[in-house]
Amino acid sequence: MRPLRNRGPADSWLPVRREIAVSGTAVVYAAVADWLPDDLERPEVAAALGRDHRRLLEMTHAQGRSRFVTSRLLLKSAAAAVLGTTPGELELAYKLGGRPHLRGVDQLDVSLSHTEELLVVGLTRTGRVGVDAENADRRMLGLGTERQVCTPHELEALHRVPEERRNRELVRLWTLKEAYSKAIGQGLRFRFTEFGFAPEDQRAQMLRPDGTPGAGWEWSFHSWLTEESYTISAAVHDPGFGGRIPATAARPLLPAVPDPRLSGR
Amino acid sequence: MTTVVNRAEAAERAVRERTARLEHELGDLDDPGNPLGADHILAADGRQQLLPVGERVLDTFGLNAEFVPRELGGRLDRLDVLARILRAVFRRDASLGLGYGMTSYLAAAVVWAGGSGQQRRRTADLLLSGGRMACAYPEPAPGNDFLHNRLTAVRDAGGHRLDGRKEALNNAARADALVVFAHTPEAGDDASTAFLLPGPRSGGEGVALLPRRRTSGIRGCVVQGLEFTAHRLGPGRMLGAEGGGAPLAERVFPVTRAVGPSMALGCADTALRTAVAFARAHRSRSRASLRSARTRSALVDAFTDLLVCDCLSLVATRAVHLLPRESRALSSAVKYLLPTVLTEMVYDLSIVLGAESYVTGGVYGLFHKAARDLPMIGLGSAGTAASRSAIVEHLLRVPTLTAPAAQAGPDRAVRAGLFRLFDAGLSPVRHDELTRSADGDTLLGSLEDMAREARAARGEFAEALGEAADALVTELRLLREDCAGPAVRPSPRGLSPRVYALADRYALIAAGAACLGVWLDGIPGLPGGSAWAALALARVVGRLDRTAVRVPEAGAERLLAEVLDRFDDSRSYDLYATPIGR
Repeated sequence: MRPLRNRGPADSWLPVRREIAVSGTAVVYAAVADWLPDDLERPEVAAALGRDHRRLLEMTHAQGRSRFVTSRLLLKSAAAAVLGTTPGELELAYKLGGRPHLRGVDQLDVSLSHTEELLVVGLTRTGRVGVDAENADRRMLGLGTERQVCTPHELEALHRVPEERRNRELVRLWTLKEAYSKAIGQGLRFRFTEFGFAPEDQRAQMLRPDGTPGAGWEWSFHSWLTEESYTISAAVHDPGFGGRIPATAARPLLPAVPDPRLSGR
Repeated sequence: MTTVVNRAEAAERAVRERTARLEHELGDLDDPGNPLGADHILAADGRQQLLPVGERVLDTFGLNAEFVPRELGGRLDRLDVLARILRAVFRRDASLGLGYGMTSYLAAAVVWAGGSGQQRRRTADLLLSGGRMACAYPEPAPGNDFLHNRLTAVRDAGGHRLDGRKEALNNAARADALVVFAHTPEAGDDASTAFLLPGPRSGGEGVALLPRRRTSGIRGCVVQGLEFTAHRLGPGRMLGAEGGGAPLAERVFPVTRAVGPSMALGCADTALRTAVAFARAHRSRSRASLRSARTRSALVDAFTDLLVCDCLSLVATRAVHLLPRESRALSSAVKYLLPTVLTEMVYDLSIVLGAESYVTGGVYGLFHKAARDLPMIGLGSAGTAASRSAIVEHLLRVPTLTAPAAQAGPDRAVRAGLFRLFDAGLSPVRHDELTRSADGDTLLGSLEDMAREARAARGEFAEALGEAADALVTELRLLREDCAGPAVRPSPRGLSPRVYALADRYALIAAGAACLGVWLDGIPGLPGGSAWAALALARVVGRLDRTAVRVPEAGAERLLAEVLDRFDDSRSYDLYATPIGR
């Protein structure tokens, strides 16, 4: 699995659909500019946001407003493309802890992240997904962040990473933790010093603070560095119900809802 | 009148006696000397085995009798009681609950709903003598390996010949009898038929067991596939008429969808108790301790969610008896909502245990086990899809969501006995009624009246409850508007997927209305006046609209006190406050 670059509403969703069919999970990223409507006050924006529009009205910061609108447009468009419907047919809602979900459509789990000018969306049909992104060169090292972010095991391991790669490694660990924490709906409530990963470990296994294995095999973790120098991480939960056979026309992810009023029962 | 009261009291006493006996036999989870203690349960889970001593204890108790209707010699007469008793097993071990209990019941329920007199008697005898059953239900549209069913039966020499595979079936090897839904093409293109056949050990030729499947949770359960090759089914094997599989399943679903998740609530109960134990064991300066606001609210929220789930389960299990036509939608709401709410409840609690939430053994190992077991019980999104469709159907047929015309008066739902925890006066399940379309919605149709009563209430937290009830009424109004709007307009291309969101909102509003009803009826075990109901409604409404209500802080403190009391006194985290393990 690789994160897929999307270049705006006109771009093809075929790669995303294919990734969902093959691996069950897709991570899509895009630039805010690619998704920004000319005018946020237009009624189409309000319609596309649904109940979220109220939140937009309360926001004052221009950049925040742009990210809010574009990330939701990207998420709904990607989800609609995978489900074979239109964005307007989906309702984006929030769990009590703030985790986004498609109301009533639990066959596709979603996650959202944005940083600077980057938008990231995770989609999975296996169980749960969390995504997070950061500028890979965001300064984290030497600010005291390590002690708040890393487990003792990670601190030790981080120390062994060559200095020129160390900051990026810390950023990667941070995004992995955010991704997992978002997948289980906890955001920053789960203390980052209580679970970790092995630095420079491509398979990214979750570890307890002492370095012994953490979450079970049903969880998998991924992180990537994009060409634009962003680190993107994803946490995916798959309890192993199978059903890996790609959704087909006969068994779509979002089956057409038959109208019981027409069956005459 | 006295006789009626006495009979009700005697019935409740009998239930309590049975629950207490089972709890006593299962014993104290924390006692290292108890063969059914946490250490042994975790070790069996690690070995991917059902704990043998657990099975023996349940044999001795005669757990199977709970699944057999009273008229056939068992103890089953009320579904709320069935769930209440099975929770004791799920509090110990979901694998045992599923592997010993629920799996057999899900199969037997089909026989009770559609079997002949002889099939019912034989199934009762099999269960009462300690036998196991398993069932290959028809596969819902989205499907997954656990729900996958590609079995076909064609007519052959007066009976049928069965071919095909069922990929994953709990208890497949050990079952003494199987209930199998198979496609019967000769009865129609989409027709299916249910069959009752002996287990694979004594099933004759043409039955093969497929390799065991690895599961991330309920690891003690042996889940494997079955393959039939030209397997002969004699003429007496059909359950009901040929081609009658789908309607038969519909006669069973209101029962199984309500009672299954309600049993599994016991698993989440133990997760909460383990989190409380962890918080209790930490010094006041620790961030996991009860002094930490984050820990306190995590515990209270979890308890509140358990109460919400239990209120909805109570109403749905009782509705099967009391409002059979409406129970299809209500039990679907349980099956749709509970697996998600309970799974997320455990994730929410994981912040209390932190690193300890990943430990598979030791004092708090049951927490990690619950976190892995619970997602398995609902079988994922494919497991809830059919229930969601049943709710959609209800919304299209009864878009006004008002009570049936035959009912009137402010407390019709209360009088219907939907919310009564300890009330034995329930008529037997009438399976024929379960498939008939609802002519109203008693629960949601009573919401405005119940909210009015909540607003009129006086006392602590009454104001918060009134506010939350108003917010719920607003959500009902919005749902009714949308049920008359473009989302449900008939279209040749089928309905808009927006109806799924409506079903989700329906399930939440039903849960809220159930809480309000239970509060009105009065729960003896829950002090703090309206606090629990105010919090429960706030959590329901918050899922519909995060900005709609505020949570009464002082109410949360009351509930926390209750959480700690029940911990110290070892009582269950549900509506019953059942004494545990004594």
